Amino acid sequence: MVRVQFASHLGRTLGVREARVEAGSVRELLRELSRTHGRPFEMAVRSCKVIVNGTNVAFLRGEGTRLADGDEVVLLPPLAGG
Amino acid sequence: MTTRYAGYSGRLLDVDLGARTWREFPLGDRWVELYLGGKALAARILWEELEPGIDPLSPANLLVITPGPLTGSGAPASSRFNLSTKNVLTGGVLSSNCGGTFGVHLKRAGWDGLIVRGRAERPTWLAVDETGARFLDARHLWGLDTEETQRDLSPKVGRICIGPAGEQLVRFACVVSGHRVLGRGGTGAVMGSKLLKRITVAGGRRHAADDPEAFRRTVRDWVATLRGHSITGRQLPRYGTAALVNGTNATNTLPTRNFRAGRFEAADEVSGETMAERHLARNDGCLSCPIRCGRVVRHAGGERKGPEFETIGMLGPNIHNADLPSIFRWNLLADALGMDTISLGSTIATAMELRERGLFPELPVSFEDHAGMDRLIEDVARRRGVGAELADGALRLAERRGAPELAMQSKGLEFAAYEPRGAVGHGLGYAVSNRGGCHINGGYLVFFEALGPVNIDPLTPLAKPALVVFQQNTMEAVAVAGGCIFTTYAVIPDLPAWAVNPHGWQARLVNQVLQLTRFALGGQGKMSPEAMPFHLPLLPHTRALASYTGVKMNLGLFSAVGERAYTLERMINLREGLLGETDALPPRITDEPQRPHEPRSRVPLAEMLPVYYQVRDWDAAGVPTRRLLDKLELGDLAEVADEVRERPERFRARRRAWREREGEVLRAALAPAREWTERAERERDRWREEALRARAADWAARVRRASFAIAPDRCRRCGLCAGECPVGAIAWRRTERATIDPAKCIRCGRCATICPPHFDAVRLVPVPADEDRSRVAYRVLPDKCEKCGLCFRKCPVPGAISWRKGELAAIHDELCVACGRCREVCPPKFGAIERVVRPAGDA
Repeated sequence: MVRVQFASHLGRTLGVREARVEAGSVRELLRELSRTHGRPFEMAVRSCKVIVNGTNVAFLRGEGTRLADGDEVVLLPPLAGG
Repeated sequence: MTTRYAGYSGRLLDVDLGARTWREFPLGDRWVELYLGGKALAARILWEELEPGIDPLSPANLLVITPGPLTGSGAPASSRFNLSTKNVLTGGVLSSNCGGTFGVHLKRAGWDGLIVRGRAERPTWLAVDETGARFLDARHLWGLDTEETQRDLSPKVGRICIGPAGEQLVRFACVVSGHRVLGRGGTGAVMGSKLLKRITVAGGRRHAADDPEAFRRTVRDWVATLRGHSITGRQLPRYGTAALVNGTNATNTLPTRNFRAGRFEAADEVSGETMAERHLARNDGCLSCPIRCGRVVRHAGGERKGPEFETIGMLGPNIHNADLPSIFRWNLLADALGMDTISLGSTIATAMELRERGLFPELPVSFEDHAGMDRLIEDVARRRGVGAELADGALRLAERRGAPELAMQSKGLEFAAYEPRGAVGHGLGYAVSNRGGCHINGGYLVFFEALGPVNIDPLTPLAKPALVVFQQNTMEAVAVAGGCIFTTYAVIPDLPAWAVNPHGWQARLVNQVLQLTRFALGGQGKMSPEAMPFHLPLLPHTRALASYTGVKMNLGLFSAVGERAYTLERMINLREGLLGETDALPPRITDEPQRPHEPRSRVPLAEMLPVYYQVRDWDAAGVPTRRLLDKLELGDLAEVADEVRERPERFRARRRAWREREGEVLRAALAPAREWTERAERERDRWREEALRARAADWAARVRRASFAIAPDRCRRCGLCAGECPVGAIAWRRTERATIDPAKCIRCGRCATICPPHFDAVRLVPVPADEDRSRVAYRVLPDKCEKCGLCFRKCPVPGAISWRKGELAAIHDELCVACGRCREVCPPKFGAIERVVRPAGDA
């Protein structure tokens, strides 16, 4: 089970801010979430970063990044402030 | 000398508080083209007028307040103004930017900026309008918090003021404008040291755009872009900057327990999402802003201003606090007292860590116990007990307690709420920023490295120096123009970013552009075509500038303005003795990895700094080269640059001397401030009455020198003025705007006092010398007065004539506007009122 957090307006789009999902890789996780949340998720996630335990998967193995039990994933839409 | 460019008045108001005089400081075409306004213009003025080596809290320091050319133009998020002065924490330059309405009103009053010099003799309220500056009594306001200080002001005036922290010269005291704040670097203490409690400004001038049609089109498209972008159209309006709490926490950049970690286990408790769910009443924004990132929260039984991300970060995770309502309360308290919440939170966190190490046992709060925080914040603002030590900021506190390395700062200014070991380019920004450890002036690289829509490895030093330079120049230019830097967040369009391979074509393109950036910025006015994609988003800023002011503007020139502003400020810092060795970070940030299993999670500053200097075209010691200064048309600064290069020791000694004397200067400036506070507690009511009388007299004096006109664009056809005019000189119908017939008008000023403040349609127009009534007086002749009271009843100025049944009427000269209405209505058979002209020199 990995814990997924939907940050900022992604959470609002989906109506939930957190989910627990059974997935072995980022690809599986996204597929699983697409299945549960459908089109709005697919549209929104396209501009999101996937952060696994504090590291952007772009610097791991991208969608192929393995997930283990207890991992924390954050789907992060672009943010800014100052 | 004046300027032909639209949107400018060609003059700054130059005020001397000590001498109580003002003059016009001219602004010519050349300076407009090179500096535009804002912090660039202010830096040039500081370079010319600021004596090097003086203490920031001495009367010799200057306050330079400059709006940008777009301020008040109607361009999106452009209500901003800049305040530059000598930094109370770093001793270098400080420019602080704010979204309050002061800048818009300053422009309307026909001033491109305001320079304040000297120290007042007693608490002063500086009132600025189209005719100049007036020095009003503020003794009755001294000691009041920022909310009380603004309470008696009508919404039609722009204002800035300080609270008790500014009066007590807290080194991170801020200046407040409405609900917005000029936060960093001790602006409030500079005002406090000048005994300047508040500045107000009002005016009715409208500037017309150079090319109104092109400007209107640009603004329309620009607003649509901002509304459509996911950051400026969704995140910021919905969650405000507080959305960054969860974002920084996810990317190891949320400072926790005085920057010892980048993650906080209870971050979600204080996140923007939680605030929106449980507390948010609505969002709020600056004038003319379509983004509206401000928060209004339900708190303590009312709707109050909510905290920004920085405040949450510093008064939340960084002191190990997960209670959002307590942050609301401290944020409001700090605003009311007039203190920068970033420096306040960081200083308290430093104190807590000192206590943990046994170096500050008497501190009443700790990372585990926040019960004494409210009291401590009050004590800091009023320099009471342990609070007095915290009032000098984190660095001075940690130095005094023998552990300067525990202060999370650069040059003396505390870091903002981003842990740089999670985004190393952001760390480079903290180190080199002219203001000290500032996120904005440092280029806000965390946006590229961790939070924004592109994937750039946050832990690699590669390409970071060039990116910092690019971002700093861009943000400087946007700020100079009078725009909010949040408008630059639409710089990168929404991309399917998570799928982008860092080694893929997009990343390669970005890196290639970075290589070219230096070249691109090199040729003024010339753009390298390869660099275009990266600059494209700045198009609306340049287009708006060109169409509004008529100044020749393109992307290259625009970036050059930013680079010029940054280089000028660097030169001021060098002149003050902030040399290359102060581009530094605490050892915690540079030497200790944030996460033990990730050795790269520290800021490799020594690796990045030489490259940064190189990209900037500075020499190995961090001094701009003659070539760069010539290119930026700052050739006249080269002499000082050479001197810094050849005799750096002289400049270091200047800074050392300042630090050695600073305690003494502070004590000397604090003594009168404290005396006024004590006296105000006893004599406030009497002083308030005196001030009210003085204000009425001041108004009368202004009316005597003015005629009146109704601004057609402000009149809302309410007809109040027409109803009140004692001589029927105002024509009005429900369908038509009111107009004043100058032939009938007796210049009593009744219309100006009756026009509702939010309309502010009646303008005072200065009259020629021969119509000036300053020396005209009316007197009641006691032997002729029949005590009928007609003059009393017909006088249009309340309080100017007193009368009671059976008694003689009396005219009070200080409130009388010399309109002559009394003489007109006094029955001819009595002829009891006489007009006299006092000789010159008789007050």
